[in-house]
Amino acid sequence: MLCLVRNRTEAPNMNPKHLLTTLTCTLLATAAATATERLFTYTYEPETLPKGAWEAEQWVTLRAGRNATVGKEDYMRWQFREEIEYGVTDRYQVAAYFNHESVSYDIPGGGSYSHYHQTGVSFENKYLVLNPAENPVGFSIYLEPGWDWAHRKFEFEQKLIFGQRHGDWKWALNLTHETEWEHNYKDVVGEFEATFGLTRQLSSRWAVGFEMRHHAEVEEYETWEGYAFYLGPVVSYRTERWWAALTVMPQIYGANFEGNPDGNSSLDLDGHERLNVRLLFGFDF
Amino acid sequence: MTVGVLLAVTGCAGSRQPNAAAAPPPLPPGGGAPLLTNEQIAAARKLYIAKCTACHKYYPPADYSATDWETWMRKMSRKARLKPPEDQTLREYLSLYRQSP
Repeated sequence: MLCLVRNRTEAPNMNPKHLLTTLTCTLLATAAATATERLFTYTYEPETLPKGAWEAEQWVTLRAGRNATVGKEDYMRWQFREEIEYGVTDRYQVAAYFNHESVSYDIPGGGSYSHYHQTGVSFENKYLVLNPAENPVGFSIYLEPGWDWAHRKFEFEQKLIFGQRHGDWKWALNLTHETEWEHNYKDVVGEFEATFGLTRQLSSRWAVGFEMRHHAEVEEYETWEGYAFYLGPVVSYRTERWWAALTVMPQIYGANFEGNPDGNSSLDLDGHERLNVRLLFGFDF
Repeated sequence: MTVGVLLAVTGCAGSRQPNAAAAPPPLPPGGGAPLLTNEQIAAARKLYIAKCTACHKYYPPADYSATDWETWMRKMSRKARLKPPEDQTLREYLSLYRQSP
């Protein structure tokens, strides 16, 4: 684990060499399995892997932009996930994630903060209840427990995943609830999220569309902390051996329910960022 | 709201209407003769839905040349981890749609 607090003049906020090394290692690590293309990055689609199939994915998420009022200028949070999936049956798949991240920002008045750490592991269970090929709407249930040993917290995520194809168009909707037991597993936070994506297949390789995401947190299931709504384009590309999907979503509006800690009346920059960008890679060998 | 959405979805699903964009259209009874029986066609269609629709829409086989179709079948069979009997079943099943799109 790396945890550094420096004076502003001593060193850059982030260590590009470290990020490059991380990316290279994780890309190589995913280069030995097969993959199934995804059209969205924040929104899951209901389909599951065929029985016996393996898939590897690399996730890279950038969460950028808070402000000086919350003590975080030039805020950059890079999150990485390496994922391996397996189709247990044609309707049930499991996956394991390894999570790590790098956070950096300038502290108003002097100094900067840079921090890299492993953020634990997660285990996905996804069951296809209604196959979209056989029903008007596809539907899957998704359960993901996780353990973040760096922040000493457990989390348990539950998703309802809907979706369907209509010719060259495809949409997906996720309704998510997550409980986190944080601060040494003592405090409980509830999170609620809805994501939606719509995309159109332009050719055998390209698909273009948009994604939206609404996210809110409730402290101890009693006090709403804040919420944010994101909207932006998604583009995906696939070849015979690899695929990628990219979403760029600025925060359109947000709010804090407890005062206005970020001094911004139209965005939430205390618990959310101005910009979320996610890139997924998959490799097929 | 979640319960409402679930009820709506599962209620709609009760009709079990196939998504025409995802899977081959049903064949009339005897439509696979003499290559496949109705039972074999039903099993093959089930296999297609389980193995193929997770990744892509239905591409009508008649839209492809024989060479291109063989190339795609080989690639997709490998990608979907089809066993040899499954590969054979799907090839025979989809070949029906090359003859009668």
